[in-house]
Amino acid sequence: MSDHSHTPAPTEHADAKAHSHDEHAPHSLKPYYMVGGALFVFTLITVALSYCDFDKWFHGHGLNMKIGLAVATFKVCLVGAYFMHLKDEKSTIWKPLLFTFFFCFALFALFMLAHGDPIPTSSFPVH
Amino acid sequence: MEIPYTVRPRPDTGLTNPKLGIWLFLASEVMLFGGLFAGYIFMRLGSEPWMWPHGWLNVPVGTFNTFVLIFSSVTVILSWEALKMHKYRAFKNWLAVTWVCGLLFLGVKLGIEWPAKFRHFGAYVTKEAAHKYEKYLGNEDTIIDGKSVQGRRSRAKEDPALSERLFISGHPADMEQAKIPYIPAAQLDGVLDGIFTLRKNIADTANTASDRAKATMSEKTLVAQLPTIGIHAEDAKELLNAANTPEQNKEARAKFLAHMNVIHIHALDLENAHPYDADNDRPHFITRDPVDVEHVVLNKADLLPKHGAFLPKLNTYLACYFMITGLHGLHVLGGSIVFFYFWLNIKGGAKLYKTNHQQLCNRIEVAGLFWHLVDLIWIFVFPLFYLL
Repeated sequence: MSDHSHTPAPTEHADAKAHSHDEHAPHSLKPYYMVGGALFVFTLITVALSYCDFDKWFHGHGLNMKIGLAVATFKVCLVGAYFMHLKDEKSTIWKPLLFTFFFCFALFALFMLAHGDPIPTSSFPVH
Repeated sequence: MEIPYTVRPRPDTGLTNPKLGIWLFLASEVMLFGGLFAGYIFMRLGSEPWMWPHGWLNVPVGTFNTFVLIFSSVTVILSWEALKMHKYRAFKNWLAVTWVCGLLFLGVKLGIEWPAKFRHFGAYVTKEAAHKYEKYLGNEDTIIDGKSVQGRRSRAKEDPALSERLFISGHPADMEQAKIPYIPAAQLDGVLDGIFTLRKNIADTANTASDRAKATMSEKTLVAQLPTIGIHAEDAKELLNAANTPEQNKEARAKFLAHMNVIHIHALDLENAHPYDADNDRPHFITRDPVDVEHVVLNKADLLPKHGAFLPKLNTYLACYFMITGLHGLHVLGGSIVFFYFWLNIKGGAKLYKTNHQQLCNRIEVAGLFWHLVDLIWIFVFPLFYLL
């Protein structure tokens, strides 16, 4: 970044003018308030859901974990799309991010190897 | 040195340099935390069902901190918007609220959450010794007030979420003593007998100063082994001064081991104080204080070797918790410092409002993007560690 610049380049003021139009300049603050409010509400929902025993109600396995993480993922999408402006961002940014998320999920998928237990002699405790 | 800069988007990327830079950095951050989260989930799925802690963290405090971070994510946007609209005072105020929120978040972590773990003690009893502590575990069926009451083992057959309880936790009378691992008598005898034999040999045979120096060195080597089995230097000195022969020293050793190898608990957590109360099966929203008790003694030989479970180095869950929340806390601290810097009326900070408005807008936007990522990570940390 340009922290230490003492004398701006001659083109600086022209640059500033040229950039006076910003694609993310807020037209209205309403979406931010709404997303902020939604994040508060979904936090409360996450807390409330954690006290429900979905496995018992629906005879499932790890349902609380799946539902809790689904709500968290939804909240993260809201932050990314609205607060971080990914919704209107250039593809130069979100295309490389797709790679990041792909590798990140691949990382998460690694522990599935333990569930599949590819080494027949191992006795990894799976529940 | 002067670093050339431009506030205009580059023609090839269509983005300003700092914006492209911060997104590349954020991508690397996602991978960093992704790796840590993946490790956490891997360990959780791989642990024995009864070994993974549930309800150890203070949910209301965690919820409050989540609100603080979400609120600060909104205020940083409001600050950036005010700056764009040339509302200087509003920009400064919202920015101040943002870094104050960051510090508040850290204050709660450092002042309330993290220290609470170090005041608490918990240990897993071995399955073989569980029957000795049955009245704190409540695994067997029993009769209370003439009524037959099911224990955890029976109830676990109907409720798969329950399992045998082997964990005892509360507040020890002496935390430092409780943290010392079990000291086997044979190990202590081995070292102390060696020292006494050495001393006897010196008295019998060492005639020269050189012999005595050599023997002193050998004794030092033996004494140095004592801390490795959990004996502090002061205790070792006291033990060695207690007598002159291994036979005479026996009583002192037995007394010492009787003191060191047990843990006195003066307050038990509710699930151990009232183990048959089904109300304690699930964590409560409001954390409840331990109940004062008398004469609860845990023998360290009956505990799994890595007892003292609320210490991060002895517990996988807390190791993950302190690692991830600690790293996240460092990000909060870094973000707060950056916002504070931009808030100050200095050349690289708020003064840019007059000298290069667009540059200040870019800076707040980039720092804001980092701040949103910090919020985003917490959105995953909160349910994973506190709730699920």
